Amino acid sequence: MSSLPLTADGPVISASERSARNNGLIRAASYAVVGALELLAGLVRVPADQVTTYKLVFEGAAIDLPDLVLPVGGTYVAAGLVALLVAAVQLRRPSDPSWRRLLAFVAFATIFAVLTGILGGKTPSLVGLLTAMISFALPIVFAGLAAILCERSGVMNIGIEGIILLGAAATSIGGSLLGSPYAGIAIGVISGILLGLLLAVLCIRYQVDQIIAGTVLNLAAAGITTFMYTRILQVKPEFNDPGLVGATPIPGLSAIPIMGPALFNGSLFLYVGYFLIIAMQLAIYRTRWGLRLRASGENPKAAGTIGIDVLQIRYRSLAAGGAIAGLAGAYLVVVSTGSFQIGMSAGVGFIGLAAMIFGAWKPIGVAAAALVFGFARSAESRLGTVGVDIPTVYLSVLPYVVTIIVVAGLVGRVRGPSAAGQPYEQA
Amino acid sequence: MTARDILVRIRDLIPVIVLAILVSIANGLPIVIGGLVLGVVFLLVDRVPQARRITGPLGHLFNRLKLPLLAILSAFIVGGVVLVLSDLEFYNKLGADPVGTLRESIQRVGEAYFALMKGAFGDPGKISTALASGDANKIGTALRPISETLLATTPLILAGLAVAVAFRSGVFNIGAEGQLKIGAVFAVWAGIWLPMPFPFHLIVALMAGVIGGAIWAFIPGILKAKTGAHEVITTIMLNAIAQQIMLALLLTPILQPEGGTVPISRPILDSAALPILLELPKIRVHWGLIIALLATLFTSWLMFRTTRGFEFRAAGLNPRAATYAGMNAGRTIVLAMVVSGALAGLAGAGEVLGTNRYLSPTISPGYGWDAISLALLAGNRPFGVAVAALLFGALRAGGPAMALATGVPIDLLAFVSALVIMFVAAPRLVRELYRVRISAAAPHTPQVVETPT
Repeated sequence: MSSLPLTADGPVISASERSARNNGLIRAASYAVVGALELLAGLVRVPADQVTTYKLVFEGAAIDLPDLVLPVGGTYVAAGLVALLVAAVQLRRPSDPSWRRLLAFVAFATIFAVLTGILGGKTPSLVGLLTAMISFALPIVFAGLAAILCERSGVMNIGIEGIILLGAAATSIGGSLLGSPYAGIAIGVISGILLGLLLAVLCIRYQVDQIIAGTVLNLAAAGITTFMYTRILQVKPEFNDPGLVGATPIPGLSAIPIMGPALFNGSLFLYVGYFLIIAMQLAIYRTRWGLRLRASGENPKAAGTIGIDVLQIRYRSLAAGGAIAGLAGAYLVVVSTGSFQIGMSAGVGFIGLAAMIFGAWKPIGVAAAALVFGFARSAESRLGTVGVDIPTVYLSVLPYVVTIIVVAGLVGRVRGPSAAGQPYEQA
Repeated sequence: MTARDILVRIRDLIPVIVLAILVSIANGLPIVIGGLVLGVVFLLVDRVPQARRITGPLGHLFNRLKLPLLAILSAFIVGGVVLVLSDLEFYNKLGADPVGTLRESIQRVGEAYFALMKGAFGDPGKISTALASGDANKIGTALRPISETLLATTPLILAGLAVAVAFRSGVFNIGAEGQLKIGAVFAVWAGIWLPMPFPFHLIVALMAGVIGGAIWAFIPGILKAKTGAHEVITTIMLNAIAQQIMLALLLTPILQPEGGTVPISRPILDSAALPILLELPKIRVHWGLIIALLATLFTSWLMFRTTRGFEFRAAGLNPRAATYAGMNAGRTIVLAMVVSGALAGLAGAGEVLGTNRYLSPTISPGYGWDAISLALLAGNRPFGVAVAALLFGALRAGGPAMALATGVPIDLLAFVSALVIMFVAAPRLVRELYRVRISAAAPHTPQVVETPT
């Protein structure tokens, strides 16, 4: 009798390994199907001479690149090859944990090919497309980072959507009263902190179910902001005019061709976003604070036993998460629109949750997921402006569908903090 | 009784006293005394040890209603405070005449809530004179507020039952909103494209709604059962997807009339319409209400009189114990979600086949969210859901009347109903505010537990 788990057929593999491998095979098959469809579209359906001309010039560029002329058929073929290549990689190593990166590649290539196909014969600006991608991705990044902080500490925060909406309203009113958009941002962030703390008090002190508390916050935020808008802001528009925060280009870097304007000619928020992504990634994995944060989200009882104040960590994380969500609200007001509008959060908080899951509860992952979702939004809005007559529903449901696929583990299991959602009673 | 006891008693009375002072500023002495007596009686009944041991139906009812009633009261008080504070005139006048301004503001809050009541239930005097006159036009006008309340109550009962069934079974279905919309899409499609003689067409269209909602709830159910995907996340995402699908379909020839430019569907055929309950002018309440009440009976029977219902409740109370007792956890989750989604889909079908007779993007002004509030308010009991739905229906119907009469935006009520859930879900908070005894846990809220995969 051997104690080694060996049989005549080879090593015994556990059920979870087998299911990981099966999922990998399913994944590879799906990528192959997508790739085959794209190849088919490129080779058969598209007229051979159809091209899309992407404009690469922009004001202040270091080098003026010529227009990028892409044959529609060729783009489809290229995207199809990418998908097939990824499928091949998947097939070789079915249980490879780096599936998320591969999925992102396929998603990007596919969206780009579809966009090129739909814009066939037109001359869109690639620089504008990318800039729009970043500006859509930024609030999603903030929402996702806020969600990470809360969930890592063990509180499931589905109220981020509401905090963003109320933060936007507070930014607008505060900025108008104090006469500066920057003061407005501060008010927005403070209101975010207060709402985060309110949620913490409800969930921790009064032990309201975290999902109910988040839902309450979303509903109350929608109700009270619409109420305030009709009762005050519509009557006195001067209370809804905080002013805009302009772009601050980084000299030199912002002149880089193609990506420069998108990455280095943004508002203050863009740079704060970079800082937060990097700082949180380091803080969560490399600092004592991060270890304690993760401990209180994974196993609060064990953390409490060795003397970590779990409840304090949760209060502080919710406050910090609220601050970041408030920042997202402020961004929508002082960068995107210049005033508060009813329902202006438009699902950003929920897409942020999606980005958190897609990004496997990691700040860098959230940033990558937000880029994919932001690209989909930017493609969607571009299709709207050039008046292309196709249902953009496929692009608008993309983040939600991807999230469902990811939480269902169909493209590889991600696991969140195990204690997220459960109340913890500290002795 | 020691000095400390007396202090505690006085502290217990603070909320009542504050309330009484506010009311006295608004209305004068007699009401204060009335309010004080009522509050003291309420607290005494709650405090006296013998009274607490009141058994029998009355004591039971008192204990059961304490939390919801105090929650509703608190929510309306906070709503009133917001109403006062959001009035810019209030700040201008406050310095000159504090007491007078405060009185005026509180009176205005009272007026708004009174207009809400009148908008929801009508004017009793008007109703009796109209009935006496026998003029169908007058009767219709007088009964219209009640009709509108019942009209809004109809989808709320069905959606509330949907949420209650899921919550009782331990599944956090917050996707009633999306299931309702998909149900509406299915029903309106069947109502337009499957011409048949009257009762059959109606039944088929209703069934289409039921199937649509059930499919939309089956997805998170099967995902949770097979892969452990958290239903809260999947239902949130499916809500958004449902909204987008509905909008997209409303712009295609499948639903949009030929040459249409706005996202509004063709009208359903007359053979698929739910008939009006009372043939009077201006009365819109339809047979959907009867269907909703039958669904309440059905749900109560299903949950409390069948083996399946027992399995649902067992899974909700303790999924591990239920699994250990040999019940199939995965199947229970899927079935509970399907029943829940079917009820929500029926709510959507009722809206397009009865209330509107076409589909528009505003098919649900948040019925699926109200459903969560009222299911919690009712402790997830089917008959309680019907009563709570009447309350929320009254808010929905009375809101426009309040906005028209007093200029208070209707969205105040969305805020108030969100607060109702908060207070119901936080018994500890209510207990601390009013110093009353309330059982610790909100009844039958599903606990977030590791799901068996």
